[in-house]
Amino acid sequence: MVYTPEFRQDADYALTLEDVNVYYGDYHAVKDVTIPIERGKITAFIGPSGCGKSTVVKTINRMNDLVDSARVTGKIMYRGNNLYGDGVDPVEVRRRIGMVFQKPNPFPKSIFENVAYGPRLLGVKDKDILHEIVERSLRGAALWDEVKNDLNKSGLALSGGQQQRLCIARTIAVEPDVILMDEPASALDPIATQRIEQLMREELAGYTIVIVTHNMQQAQRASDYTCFFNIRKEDREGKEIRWGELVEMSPTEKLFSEPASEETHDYISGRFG
Amino acid sequence: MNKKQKPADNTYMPDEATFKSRLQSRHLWGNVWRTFFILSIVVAILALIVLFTNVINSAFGTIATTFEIEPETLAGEGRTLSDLTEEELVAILVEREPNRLPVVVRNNFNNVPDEEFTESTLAQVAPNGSYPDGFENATINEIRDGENTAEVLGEFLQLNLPKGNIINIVEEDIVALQVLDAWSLWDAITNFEPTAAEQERLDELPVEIEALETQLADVETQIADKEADIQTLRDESATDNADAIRSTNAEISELQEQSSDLLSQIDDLNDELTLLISSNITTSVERDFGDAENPVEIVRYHSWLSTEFLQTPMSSVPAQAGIRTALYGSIIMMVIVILVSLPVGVAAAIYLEEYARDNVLSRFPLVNINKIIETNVRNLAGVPSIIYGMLGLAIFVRMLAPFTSGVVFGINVNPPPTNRIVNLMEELTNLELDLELDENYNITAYTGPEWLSEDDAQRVVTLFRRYGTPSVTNRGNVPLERIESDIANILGIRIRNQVPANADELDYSRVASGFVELSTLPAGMTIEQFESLGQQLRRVSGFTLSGRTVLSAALTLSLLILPVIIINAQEALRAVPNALREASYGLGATKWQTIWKTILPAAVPGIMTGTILAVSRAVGETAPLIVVGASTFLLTDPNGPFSQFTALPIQVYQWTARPQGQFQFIAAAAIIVLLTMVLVLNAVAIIIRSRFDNRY
Repeated sequence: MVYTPEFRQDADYALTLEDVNVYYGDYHAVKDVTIPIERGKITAFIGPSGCGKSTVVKTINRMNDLVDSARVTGKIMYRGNNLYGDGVDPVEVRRRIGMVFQKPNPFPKSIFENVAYGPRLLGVKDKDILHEIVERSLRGAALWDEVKNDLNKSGLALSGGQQQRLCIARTIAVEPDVILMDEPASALDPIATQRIEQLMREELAGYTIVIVTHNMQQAQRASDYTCFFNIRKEDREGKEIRWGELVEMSPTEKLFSEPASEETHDYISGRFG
Repeated sequence: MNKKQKPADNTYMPDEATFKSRLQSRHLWGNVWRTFFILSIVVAILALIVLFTNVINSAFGTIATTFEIEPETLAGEGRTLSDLTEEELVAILVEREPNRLPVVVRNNFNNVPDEEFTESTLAQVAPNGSYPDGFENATINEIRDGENTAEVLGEFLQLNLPKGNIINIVEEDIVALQVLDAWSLWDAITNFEPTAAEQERLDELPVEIEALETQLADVETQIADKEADIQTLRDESATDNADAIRSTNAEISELQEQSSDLLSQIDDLNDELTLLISSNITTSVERDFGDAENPVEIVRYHSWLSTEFLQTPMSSVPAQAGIRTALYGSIIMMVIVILVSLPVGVAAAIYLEEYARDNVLSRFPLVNINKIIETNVRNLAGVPSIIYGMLGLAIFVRMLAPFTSGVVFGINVNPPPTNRIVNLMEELTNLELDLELDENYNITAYTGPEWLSEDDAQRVVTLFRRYGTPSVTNRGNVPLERIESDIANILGIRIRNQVPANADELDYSRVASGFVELSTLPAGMTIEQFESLGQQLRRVSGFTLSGRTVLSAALTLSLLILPVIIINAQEALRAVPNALREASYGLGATKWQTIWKTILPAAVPGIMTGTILAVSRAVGETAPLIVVGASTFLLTDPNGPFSQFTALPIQVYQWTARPQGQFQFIAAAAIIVLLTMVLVLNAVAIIIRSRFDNRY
């Protein structure tokens, strides 16, 4: 069964994915994904490993372009434009739709330079303005109080959780519309994870966030909507073909309490995955 | 599939005893390998130690010197020559060797060929130099014929030569410091003086030898006596005294045996004495130079490597030879190599690593052209350096000579004086040619043969001027064909490469070889005149277009290390984690911004280390430099990319090839300098690497 979501007239969608298919060379990795992403809400992608949830998130800000063989069909509508339409510059897409990666990846530069990197790319040169942006962004990522006295310290000298929050600060410094998070807490300890979740609910409230997670509790705690992806298999001429598909998308509470699909139920109750 | 029956105790793992015994052999193998690795290290370290001790043993040691005039007599009490000012040094030269100064000038400036030296003006001898007042345009002959020859030339030397050179001249020509013999450090430590036992033996031996010689003389007198006796006996009556003669003969042969025995003993002792004397420095100096005219001084610890060695230019006397010109050559070359190969290499690496993935070449089916390019860059890194030398010779020295010689930029162009051009023009035509030139080489008055109009004559003059940069070592690099074809162009003569149909009717070799078609010569011009024109032109020419410059050598070395730099830079770029690229792209950076702001800074340490190691390899390269024409004997410092040059490895190569032993010692000293340069470069590489380590 392929899930077809309903697009409500009253809802304000920041992004809509329509029949998105992702191919790596000849390999059809993700089939027919349609997801409306509501503005100002947190949408979580869950599912077993290899179900294509990270792939889908990367298509949203065209990070998949960096993979040579990757190809995307379908539409991702953002402010009335198809992100995969002609004449769309991925650089602009990425500036509007920021991304936080699975492993904290601060630049080997100072904390200040890490946060100022994005604004500088866009041509902000004034020192005072940059300082203002850095402070606001670090506050936004709940890191300011911890690092305000050593902004010149290397970003790599921070702990893992701080590094990840630095990456979040770096992302919000360019004031994106949407923040994509690809398992942002998977490399962190439980306390750091908790900080990130708290951050998403409090400091980042109001941002449209798409978060990929392995952790169902995290999706349950942090998100407004949850999309469940699963792996489909098929025997074709003796070879097993696998691909990912969206099984269900519901408001988080509903998905975890009364899942519409049997598969979702099996997954959230821990029968597989 | 046939599965083995699972054993009764339900495990595939070996039992306790087997495990124990196998464990022992596993550890044993580990230890065997470890020993092998340690041995490898020991071999490597031993090789290094041998290398270093060898070099140090040669670079330091003992010398025995003598001189004609003590430097202290010249310099004054308690001072050395280097304490003197240039004026004082020149004054010494002028006072003591006034007649040698022209030769000194000739030897120290090689801008004009030796045979033209006496007709050259000071301005030609040292272009862009400073000159004694009013003598800028005086020729050497004129100065020699005038008064104060020595003072003028002395002042000229003082104005145009560095102090190190002048000290060298004083030492060579006046002090005439001479190193009589030299020994290595090992000899200086172990065999300087005879030990007490040796000394005792040295004292005894002559006494013993003398005693034996007295004995020998004694025996020989006896032999002579006996022979006289025999003669007397024979004279009396050979038959009656037969017995007596026989017995005396027996005595004689006994004595002769004794004498030869004594002789061999004396020989042995003499051998021993010679060996003892030769194996000790003080005694052998005493023997070899003891009765020399000038005092002999033994310097027990002499370092061939000294500040003077670094500051003085080449010399044919090992003790006065230095490496300044070579050092400058190497340093200038190093700078150019870095300036050329670093940007080009890094740019190529960035292209291959970051852009080549999605260029047109990558879309070819079946073959990945980018991969082929990369593989070939790697192969180039392994090409023997001599082959790069050949490449440099063909491309930089010959093909790009106008650029590498600096002529295109107006450097190294030193036109012959106008009067010389006028003479040549008259000489070559053998005709009534009246030609006057002003100082800008423009014809002011002209009457000439029919075939040479004034315009053409002006163009020939220009040609002379362009080709004429006299220089000793670079003579004759412009091929005659080229000069002739230039003249032919001016005169509208057709030059062709086929043998003309009527070749056998023509006498002239150049014509017979089909070079010139006779019928196309201008009316009135003979083929001899045409050839003479070419020959004359060749006589003044061939200097300008010499690409044997520092620039050519540096470009060749840059080519040589370019593949290494590309490979290193590629590795460094590849080592930058993809996470950083993603992070940058994720913030909306363009490809160029990502490369410039993130990837390059992160890769800089790796790129720098790779580059420095490659440059340190280039600094030590010899083969390509020989091929592209490094000078082996050069007194003038290179003063820019378009100078003649020599380099440290060339000097070392030169010196080690010389038969005189002392050159081996200065070669070792030069090796130490070269090694130090390389080690410093490598140290910088290590510092950069450790400094920027753990940046990501």
